[in-house]
Amino acid sequence: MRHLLAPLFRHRLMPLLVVLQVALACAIACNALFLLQQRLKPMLVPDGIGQPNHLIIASNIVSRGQPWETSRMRDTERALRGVPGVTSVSVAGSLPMVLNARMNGRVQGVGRDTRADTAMYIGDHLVKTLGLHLVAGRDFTAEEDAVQNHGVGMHQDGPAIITQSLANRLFPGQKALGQTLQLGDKDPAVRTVVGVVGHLMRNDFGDGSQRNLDNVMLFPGIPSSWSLPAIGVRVAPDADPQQVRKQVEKVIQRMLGDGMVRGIDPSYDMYGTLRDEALAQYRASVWLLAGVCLIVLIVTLAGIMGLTAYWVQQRTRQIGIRRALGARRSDILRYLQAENLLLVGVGTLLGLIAAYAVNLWLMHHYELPRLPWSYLPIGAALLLVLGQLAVLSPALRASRVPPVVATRSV
Amino acid sequence: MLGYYMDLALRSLRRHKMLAALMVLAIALGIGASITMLTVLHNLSGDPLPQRSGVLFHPQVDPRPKDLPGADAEPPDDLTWVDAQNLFHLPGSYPRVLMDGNWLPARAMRGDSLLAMQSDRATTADFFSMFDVPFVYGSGWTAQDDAQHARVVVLSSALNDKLFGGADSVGKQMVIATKTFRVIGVIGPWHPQPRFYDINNDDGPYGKAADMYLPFFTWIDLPQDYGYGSMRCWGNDANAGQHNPKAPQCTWAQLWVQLDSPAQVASYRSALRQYSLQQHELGRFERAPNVRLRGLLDWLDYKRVIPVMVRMQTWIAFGVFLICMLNTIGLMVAKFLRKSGEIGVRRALGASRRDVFAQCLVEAGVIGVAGGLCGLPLAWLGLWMVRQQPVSFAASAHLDLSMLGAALALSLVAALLAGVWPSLRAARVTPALQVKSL
Repeated sequence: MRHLLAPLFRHRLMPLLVVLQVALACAIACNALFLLQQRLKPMLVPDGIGQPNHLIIASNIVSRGQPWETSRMRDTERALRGVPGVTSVSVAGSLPMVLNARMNGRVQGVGRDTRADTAMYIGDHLVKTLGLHLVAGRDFTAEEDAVQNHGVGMHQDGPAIITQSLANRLFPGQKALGQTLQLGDKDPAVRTVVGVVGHLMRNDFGDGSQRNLDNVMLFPGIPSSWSLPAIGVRVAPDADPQQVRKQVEKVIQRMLGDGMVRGIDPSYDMYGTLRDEALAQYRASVWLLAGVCLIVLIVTLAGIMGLTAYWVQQRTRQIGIRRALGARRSDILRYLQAENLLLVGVGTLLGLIAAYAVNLWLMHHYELPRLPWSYLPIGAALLLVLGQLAVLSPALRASRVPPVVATRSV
Repeated sequence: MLGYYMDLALRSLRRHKMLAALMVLAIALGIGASITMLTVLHNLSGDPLPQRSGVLFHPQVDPRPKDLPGADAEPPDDLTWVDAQNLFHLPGSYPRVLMDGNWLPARAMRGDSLLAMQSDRATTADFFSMFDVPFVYGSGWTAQDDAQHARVVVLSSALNDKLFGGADSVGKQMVIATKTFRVIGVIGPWHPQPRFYDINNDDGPYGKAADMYLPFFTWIDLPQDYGYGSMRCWGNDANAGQHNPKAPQCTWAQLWVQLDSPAQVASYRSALRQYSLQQHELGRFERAPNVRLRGLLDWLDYKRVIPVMVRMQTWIAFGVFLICMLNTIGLMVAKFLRKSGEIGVRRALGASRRDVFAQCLVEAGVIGVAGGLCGLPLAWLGLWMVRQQPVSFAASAHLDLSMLGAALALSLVAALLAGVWPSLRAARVTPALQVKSL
């Protein structure tokens, strides 16, 4: 150990620079990786939608003057159901990945304190159309689906289907089925949980609600006096979704075209496409952050390599002496590797402290969540491996120093 | 002498190609990363109205009920109908403008002109002079037009092109929300970014300016179905204001005032507090006076219009830059000290420490410029990646000339700074020791 430490203190400069560089790289890489993971989250959350490319979402169907009459929506729905290849149709206030109409609210179990921020999708036949997977309870009955809501239906009593994650949050350790939920404080709407679905993603995944992307409630019924409905159409697995999409567009234009606002065209997209578009922003910033991490790592690698190469060269003569005195090549190699491990280890330790400090500062200024502890060992391991990679080539070169060098010009 | 040093530097770089490449790479990556994010930040944080931002102020009052769950201490951004009217008519001679924006169906009088939704800004007479709006044809309206609810409209050039083929349309008539309006002006390109005067509107703080400008009090009476801009209501019915902008629990109108001297600012602030107190005593405001009067730049700062992600990416980019600089320092020390023999000879032949220092610094500078030149394509690549983000601000992320210059200057200065300490060390090389060991 002594022969490992002594040279470090004799030539303080090089080790110090390595330690500083590693510390800085560690602090930045940890935080960048954390940000990256934050941005990656919406892309990784399961959205619960079965066969995303066999689900057509028609949105931005804006009514002119008066909101759409419910009877008209029902007629459209019936006409769409008649299109060959269509298995299920939903008329809803809002649907997943429809970003221009979103319904959110805070919900709590009746008589309980835990509140959860959720998104709501209110429409008929939602479970079937979206292809959701029921893990408990039942789907809405035909009578429940046939209800005509007041407005969009947020402030109304009735049944509800909720996601597993919302059930776990509101009723931890208990069965959610049969429990009652309330929305709002004064004169709340009360809903009874009749079913639980595995996953369903909310349609507002901005920065504020990252923790509960999977908190969603489904209510049955068709909206009344609502000017911005969304229509979901489930395509049979053996039908060509693009063909059906064209038919759906024709039917909706025929049924509702004369009531639409001119200048605003409805959009008819595959759910899969909408999802890709909605997540494009996240994907782009994931690339950007990944690029930054890569740069940090490359630069650190290059830095350690350059510094070690010089430092090894400086000590060529000592290495020659050690070889002459009986050290094997592997001894030299291992000595330099151990030295690197020590330096990078110290640097990483400092870096982790700095990473935490940076995160605290970011938390204070940008309302960022706390850096989870699990990031620190990952960051540390990454840098230690990187250090070993960087030292490999200079160390191998050093180990090949012939002992005869020591005898020259002593 | 400089030429000679340059020659020496190039020779020395050519001799240790690997080390030179590493240094150039480090600086290039650092410059690339930081210039990318600086350009984005520079584009986003610019002063939207450099000549006037010092004299424009945004008053806020607090009409919310006392016990509002989840309410913070800051008053709402916008004003209710009643406060908007009262504050707009507050005595005093300073220019002021009341406004809001939404979409309205509009068409020209021609038979073949189809009704289409257009973005509009409902505002008052001082808008055009207060915000330096350039006119191509005609002019804005007067305070008298405001008072008389005149049906006049000012168009953007883009809409004028669409409706009237770009001709001087002053005096022509058009239909907006079923009513007939007379065109009195066409404005030139005017898109202050961020759109400071209404940053809560649906398309965000970097949204486009409106296509039609009409008198506020005319606009409020128009038949409308699509909501009144960025409306926030408290209480149980979030849609209370959807068809009734005069609902007492809904804020949506923006007021801006122009105050030219600190004395005017102080007097306006006290008038604002006085108004709040009076409303409180009348029982209309449940809260004690809670007013704000922020200047334009303070307002942008308070609203944090620069996306959090961009701010954080900028910090990260600076961290990367710092790492790259540290790296360069290390490599330069290594490089210069490797030349100890050569330096020893030069010193022995009569070069002073200062000469050696200068020689090393020139070499550092050459590395810096090379790094900067290699960093520019990287910054360009980085900005291309930023533009791939489908967010409203991304489209404006382009490398302009000033940022190009900044990149080169930054890399040169950074490399020189990084070179100072290694050069000093190199200059301290003792000639006798080095020459002996040659």
